[in-house]
Amino acid sequence: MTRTAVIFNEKATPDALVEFKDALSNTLTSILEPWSLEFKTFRKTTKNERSSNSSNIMYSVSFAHHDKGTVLIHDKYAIITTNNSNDIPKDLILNTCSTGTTEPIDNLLALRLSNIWSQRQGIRGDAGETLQTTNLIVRVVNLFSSTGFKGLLIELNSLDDDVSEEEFKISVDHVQTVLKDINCKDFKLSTDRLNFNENNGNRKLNILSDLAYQYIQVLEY
Amino acid sequence: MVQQLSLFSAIDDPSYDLFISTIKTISGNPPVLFANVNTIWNLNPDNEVQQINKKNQLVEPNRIKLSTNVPLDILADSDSSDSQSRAPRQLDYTLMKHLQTDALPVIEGELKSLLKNSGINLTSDSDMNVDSDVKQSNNNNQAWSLSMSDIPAAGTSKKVSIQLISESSILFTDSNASSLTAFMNGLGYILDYSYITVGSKFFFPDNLILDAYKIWNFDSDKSTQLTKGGLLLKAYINVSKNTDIERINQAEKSLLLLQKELQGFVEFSIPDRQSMDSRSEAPDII
Repeated sequence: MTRTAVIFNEKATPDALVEFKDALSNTLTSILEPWSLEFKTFRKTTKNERSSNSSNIMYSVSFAHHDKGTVLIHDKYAIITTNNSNDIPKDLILNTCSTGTTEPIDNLLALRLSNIWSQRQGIRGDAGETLQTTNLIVRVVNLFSSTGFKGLLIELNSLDDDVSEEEFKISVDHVQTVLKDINCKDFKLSTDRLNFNENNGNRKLNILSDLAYQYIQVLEY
Repeated sequence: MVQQLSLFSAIDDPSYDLFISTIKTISGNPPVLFANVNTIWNLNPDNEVQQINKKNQLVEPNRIKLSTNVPLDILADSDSSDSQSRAPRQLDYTLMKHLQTDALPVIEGELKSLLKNSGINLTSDSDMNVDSDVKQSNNNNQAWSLSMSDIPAAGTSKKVSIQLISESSILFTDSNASSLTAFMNGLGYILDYSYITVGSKFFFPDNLILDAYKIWNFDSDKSTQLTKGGLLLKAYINVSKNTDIERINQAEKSLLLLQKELQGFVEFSIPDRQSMDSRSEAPDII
């Protein structure tokens, strides 16, 4: 199955993106369309004495790539929503479940549930570069929050649908070496999987929740 | 956000055939059978939820509706005496004529397993024990629609009901427990009640849709039909941009035209807006 990894370097400078791209340029096969990303954190504002074991933090990761999905993660539960009204399953519309217009779930949270969940911080990356090497799709973007530059973020997708864990690790290691070469050392890497069940349902969507989980790992911990 | 403009009415069971042939002529389209299951979630009473958010804006706690389609192949006749083979005689609009009792219009086991695959248990301990069947993971790709709606707009001069609906489509739920219940609990909500809707739907020009349907309260102990003896009629148009005044006016015109056309046979009217209030403290509708 397709494998993913996310790398984040908090100490990088905004220029590191160009350096990274140059360092990688020898191995590129093509340059694909730009991408962007939005990462939000919500904190629960309600008081609850009885069950304090559930997390007070909810994350939302919105992808402008990957079919415009938004993933909402709380504890280890994820739901994947679409922001593209054309992607609403026809069965939902024809059976009166859906009005045919969908909106981002993080909007719903911010708009209608802000008495329970208040948004903490938003991190954005706009107009990122998408680079294709022989075995990876490498997405790079500079992340910004309201206070300024946050760091360099790299998302790796295996090009091959059926790559083994070892093969993917070699590709990821190569990217790490490139990063070290350009003096971009203190990065966090996550290849964690939210769901370990390889046979679980729709893989394309499954990847989205893994990716969102990896974003949380590198951006929050 | 969607503005839904609607008018409601009802007919009794014997009028169904006449209704179908009338609407078929007016709309120029055949009826389409539809079925859905809806779960309504309310705020967990353990949480102290305030009416205002951190920015001191008023945010009224609202119920959340999660709904999904019921595959037509698990529908069943409810007036068939033989409980074993309840397969419908015909899977089209005529099915509605065989759904006049309290019996659920679906094969209950099938529906329960469909819900369970999404992580919704209807038994009363559902909100506690979600982790106990963690391993029962699945190949579940049942999509759900999550929606929250405002109480319909007030005002005595209104000719149709106007309601603002926010909606997000859940394509997939993922976790080791793959549980919508766990997710909703995490969000601060618990399952309140659920119901099934089965009906026929007509498509008109101008995106006008007319649904004739029956509703069953879906409870693991005792299920009842709330529309016994008749069918609810709902004529509605969804305007996808809630600020598009021109299209809202056009939609209102289309609805009023239909209302006029059917006058004398079906009287469409605006429902009491209180009955469409989904705020948390409002009484249960079902």
